[in-house]
Amino acid sequence: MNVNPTLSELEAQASQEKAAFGGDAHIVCDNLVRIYKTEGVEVVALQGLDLLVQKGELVAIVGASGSGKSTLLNVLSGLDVPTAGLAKVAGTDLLSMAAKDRLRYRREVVGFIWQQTARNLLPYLTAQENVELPMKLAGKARKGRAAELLTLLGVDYCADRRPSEMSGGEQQRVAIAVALANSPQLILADEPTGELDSDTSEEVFHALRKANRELGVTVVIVTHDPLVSEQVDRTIGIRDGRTSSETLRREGAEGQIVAEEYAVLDRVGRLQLPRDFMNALELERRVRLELESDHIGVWPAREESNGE
Amino acid sequence: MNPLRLARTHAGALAVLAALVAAAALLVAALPKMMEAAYDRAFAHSVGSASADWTDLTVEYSTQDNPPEHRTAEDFARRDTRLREILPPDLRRMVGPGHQRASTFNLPVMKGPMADGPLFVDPTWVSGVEQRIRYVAGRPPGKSDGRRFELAVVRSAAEAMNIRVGTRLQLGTVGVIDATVTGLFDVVDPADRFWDHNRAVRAVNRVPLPGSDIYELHVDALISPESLPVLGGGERQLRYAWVIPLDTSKVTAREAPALPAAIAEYERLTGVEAADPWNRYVLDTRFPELLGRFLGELATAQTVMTVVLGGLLAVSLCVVLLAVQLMVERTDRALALARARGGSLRQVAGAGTGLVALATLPAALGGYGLSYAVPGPLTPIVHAGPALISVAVVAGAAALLAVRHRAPLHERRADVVAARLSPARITVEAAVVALALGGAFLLRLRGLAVGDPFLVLVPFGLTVAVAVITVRCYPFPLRLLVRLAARRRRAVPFLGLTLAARARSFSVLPVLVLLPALAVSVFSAVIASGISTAQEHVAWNEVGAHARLQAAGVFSPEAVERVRRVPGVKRVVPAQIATVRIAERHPTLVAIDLEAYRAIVAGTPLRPPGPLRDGPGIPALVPPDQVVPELTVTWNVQVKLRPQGSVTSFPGLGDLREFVVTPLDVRARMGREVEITTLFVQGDGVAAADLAEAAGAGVRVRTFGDALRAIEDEPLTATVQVVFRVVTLALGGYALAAVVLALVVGARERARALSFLRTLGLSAGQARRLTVLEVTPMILLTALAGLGLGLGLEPALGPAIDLSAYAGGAAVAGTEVWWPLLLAATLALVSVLGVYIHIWLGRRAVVGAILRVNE
Repeated sequence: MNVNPTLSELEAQASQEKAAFGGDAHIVCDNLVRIYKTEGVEVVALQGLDLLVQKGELVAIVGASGSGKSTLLNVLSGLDVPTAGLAKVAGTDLLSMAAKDRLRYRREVVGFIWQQTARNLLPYLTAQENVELPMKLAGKARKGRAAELLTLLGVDYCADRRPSEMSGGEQQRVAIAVALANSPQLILADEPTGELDSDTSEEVFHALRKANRELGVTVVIVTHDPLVSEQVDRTIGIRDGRTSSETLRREGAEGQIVAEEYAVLDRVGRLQLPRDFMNALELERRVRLELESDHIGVWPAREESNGE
Repeated sequence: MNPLRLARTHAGALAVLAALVAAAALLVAALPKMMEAAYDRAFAHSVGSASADWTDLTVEYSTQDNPPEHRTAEDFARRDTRLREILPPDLRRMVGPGHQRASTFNLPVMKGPMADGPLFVDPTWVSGVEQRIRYVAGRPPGKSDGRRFELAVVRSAAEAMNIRVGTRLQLGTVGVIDATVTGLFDVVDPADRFWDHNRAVRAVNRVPLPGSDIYELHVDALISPESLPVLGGGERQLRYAWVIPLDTSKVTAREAPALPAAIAEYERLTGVEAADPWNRYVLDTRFPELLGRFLGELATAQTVMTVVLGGLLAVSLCVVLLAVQLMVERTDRALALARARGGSLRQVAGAGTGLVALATLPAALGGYGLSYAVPGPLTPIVHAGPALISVAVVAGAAALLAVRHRAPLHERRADVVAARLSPARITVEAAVVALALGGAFLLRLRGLAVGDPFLVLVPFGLTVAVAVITVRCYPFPLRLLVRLAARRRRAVPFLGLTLAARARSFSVLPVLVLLPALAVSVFSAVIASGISTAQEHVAWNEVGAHARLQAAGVFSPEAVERVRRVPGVKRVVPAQIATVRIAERHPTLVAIDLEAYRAIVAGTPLRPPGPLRDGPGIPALVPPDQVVPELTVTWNVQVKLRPQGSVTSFPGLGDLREFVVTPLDVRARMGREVEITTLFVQGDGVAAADLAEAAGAGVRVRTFGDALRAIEDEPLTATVQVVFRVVTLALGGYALAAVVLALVVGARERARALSFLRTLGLSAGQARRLTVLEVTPMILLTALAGLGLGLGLEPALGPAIDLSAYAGGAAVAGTEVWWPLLLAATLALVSVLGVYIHIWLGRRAVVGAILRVNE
């Protein structure tokens, strides 16, 4: 770059569109902040979270209780509005949406599944009626769509049953059908297997993966379940309201799954060190960084000798 | 979202809502109807029971000129038509067929039969009298020549005046009449209201001459219609009258307020009817007086009823809103899910509101329909009330749902509960309190009877103000208790009181129900007990003892003895009551054994005068300005009394003004016979009929029980009492419903909290006690505030609401405290009963069903 730019060069530079963060990713969260204010007390649930998810991806989000996972999901599903930052899903800006757009977004762009099986379905409607409900609410009921979805998810035999007549796994699979009813581009699932045993969890996870593969829907699953988090391509860890780590899985040369954990580097270069690393080296407050040719070394702060 | 499907799922809550709406609609439509019917009955009672000469319009004209236009019956009929033509429309539709009269004025009998006192006979013509009398001796009078008249006299008067058929009378000093009595008659129907206008035709009128035992006897004697043209001859002073009866049954209480103005207008029109400035047509009626008294009573009744029924309406609406809140709570999950899955606010709130409307509208219609079983006129409020409730409920539901589902996600963070006071809320609350206090001050200053609708709102304002203060301040005393409970080893009181001090579940609406429910019922109880106390006072004052007997003449010693022996009679105090003369004044003299009388009325609210001490001369109590060492009173002869003090009233003789009280034997000291005219009887519950039978004919008996019943049975008074009772019962029911509903609304949250505690080892019994402890302090504090408000409303509004109309004219002050206190305690107990009902309903809940894994 020219060391002494002319005015016209600076103007051209200013008017030039910068490549946006995340580019054309399906889900873009940039420095997302969500502060709850309940009866005068503020709680910061998201503290500048960054996240990119590509279209058609199946990702899991893991994190300790209270780390902000559910808040993130509520924001992405259009149920909650972030306080600051950027959140875009399929090109829709979630911060600047009007109420009407938000409603359209919930009807057409996302579908979601809650952890509590009973919360996903209305107890007095049959499986088929539950699947038809979002379509009716959106005013575009399609004949046969419900049956199609139930068949796809392998619960077509439950069509005329009410939730109380179904097992937990069946209920969750019907819930996935409900979430898919309006052909959304994104499915968000908040611990969908949390209340299920491992066999049933497997079924539900397979149903989600089927939706992801066959319908091309992007799926984001918040989970504690290793069965789920270890089978997705990418697992994103959240700590204290920020994305802290990512685990990528790929197939090794001999067909085995190779998982590599990465720390997440944000746009201004901030990095969260894993807590066990910090504990092992007793890293506190200050560290020393040293740039090597192919990596950066992080060293505990040097003990300063008193009076030496 | 199909409301019918939701309805099937939430049928229970919906049924509760429907029942409450139906009850509210019924109360709101039926009670005003009942009141209106009572107002009409009261109008008919107070106006219809008055004598015809009070209620009818009588246009009088008096002259010495024997005017040519008033000489024949046809002349009178023509004038009658004219007088009816100028009636204002409000009065014209009430009038019925009347009659006319012409008579001389106070003609003394100069020559005639021997009698005890002066006689007065006035030749009189009354149209239509022929059909109302029956000749029992002689023949009807014939035509007169202007000086000699033939007369017919009622038989009873003829006997009193010693007149027979053929008796000749010389009447008057100017235009002297020589009259011959040709016939005696009896009245066909003495109860005919016609005779109220012609009393002196029907019977002799005895006018006592003050200071003596002598009576003047007055009677109107009938002449033939043919004699009418010459009646006014010889410069005789004549009085003419046109009687235009008003049929008060054609007017309702609601139309009555227009009548005084119409009558005043008619008075003005009759005043300008005569061309002669010296002789004018004068309207004589006491209808405006009756109307004024009735309208005063009506205004008071309406004000009290507005306060009480308004309170009931507010309470019933709050309870219905609680039921709506229950519906909102019950449908919350389904609607929240629909909202999250892409339901618009309109779809979601519409479905919920539809559900509420599904229950509300038929229920309101049902309540409205049921109100037709209650007889009474249909006023706008009868239709508007249920409609208003329906609209309020549906609108309230829509608003609640809209607020609840405005955002698709409404998860509260239960860990953040440190509430901070909002300045806006404090300002609003302070403004409400200040407005209510200002309103109460203005109310005391100006009074309610003027019908200021703004000031009728003051009781409501006060209620809201007290509710605000209660909601704001109730945690403070509880926190003190929590501190005490924290030192004890038991966990339940500490936990229960801590929950009570936070009490988010038991929130504002139940306070808004309980507080006015208590305040209004305590207020009605205070008023009702004040009214009944005052009514008793009035009845005591009217009779003067348990019973009072008044003879037309004199009681014989045997009659007194017979009365003494009537079963139930304890003591009898005889008295002689007469009119005496002190200079130009005519006070009533009561000769009585004052000590004995004071003894029989001891323990009653009566305050008899006295006592009289023995001393030189005749001791007496006299009017306050006559207390002099020696007072001369004329009672046939002159009596010298030695006043010992003053007297301003005597029980049982409330309608008289001035009194002289002496010992019973005052006549004996004058050397005359003691004549007993009145007996005061002690003996609770002695039947008037027994006394009358013992005393013999011609004795008027009045007992305390009858007097009290007469006051209590006044339609307005009776209905006010009934309404107070109905309202108090309804409010008790609502208080119970409010507590149960409030608990059911918060049941899910409470069940979860309790289940957590039960996993920590809380027993089922402890859990029940915890619920009781959580809710009861709020109920008790609200009950205390309601009691205070109810007791305070009476002195606050007392001067503005004149309830004397219900107490036979006596001032009403709510002095009774125990009865309202008992009522408040009962209502509070009933509310606490609601807590137990709620616990009983939820006794089957299983911990595992409430708590889920992972929670």
